[in-house]
Amino acid sequence: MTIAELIRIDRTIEIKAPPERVWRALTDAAELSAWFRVTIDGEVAPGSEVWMQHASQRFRVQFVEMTPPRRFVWKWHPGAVDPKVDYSLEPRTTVTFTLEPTAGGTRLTVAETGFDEVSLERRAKVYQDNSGGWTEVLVWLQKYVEAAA
Amino acid sequence: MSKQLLELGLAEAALLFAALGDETRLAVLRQLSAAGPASISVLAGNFQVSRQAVTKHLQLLAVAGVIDGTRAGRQHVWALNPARLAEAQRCLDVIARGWDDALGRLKAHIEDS
Repeated sequence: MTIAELIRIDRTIEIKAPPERVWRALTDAAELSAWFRVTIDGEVAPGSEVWMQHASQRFRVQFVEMTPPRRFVWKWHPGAVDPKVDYSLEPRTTVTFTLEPTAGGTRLTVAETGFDEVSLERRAKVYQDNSGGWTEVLVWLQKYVEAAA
Repeated sequence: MSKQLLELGLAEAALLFAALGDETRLAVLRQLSAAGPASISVLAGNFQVSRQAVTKHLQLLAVAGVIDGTRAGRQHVWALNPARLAEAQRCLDVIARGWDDALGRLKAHIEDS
């Protein structure tokens, strides 16, 4: 394991169908609902923000880029599944689907990045009072870690 | 996929990832990983930032649990905490397994239809 591997996920799969077919499965709301096992409240379109729901778990997804049949990008809060918690201040990760035509069909790559994107400094701004400084932030972080441990 | 994440404490892992979200801190971790434990003076010299700035970064990394400090005479020596990094890795593994499952279902959805 290297440090760099700690901040992204990459997966690739070969699918025996042309990119156009894979694109439809990714971006048609009914098809996406079926294999991703969610209900989708909203439109799958560039710039659109929707709620996805899986059982009692509900999460916000923003579609960032749709370049058929090549690139499909969304942003979401990984693991934002507790309905009682406001995740809007938590870091968002970016999920990028890339489709490449192959002799046998399509090579689909999914990359999830940005686990490190929200800096501690920004979190500090979000959570602390204006009067505070690093000491206060450190105390908050410490409590946060210990409470979660 | 998502329920498991909650059980593993993604919120806590997010703190780890946030601690990694800075070039200097990543560089410090890489150095501690490659060259072993080091003092503040050594680190400050390597990264050409003030001792104060390095101290701030080290404190953040320590609070996030990815490094541990021990006192050696008059100064602190900092070392990587691989167990904590492994926790972050496990958390990403769970998310990655979720993607493996989802992509498997996508493949079946397309190829069996």
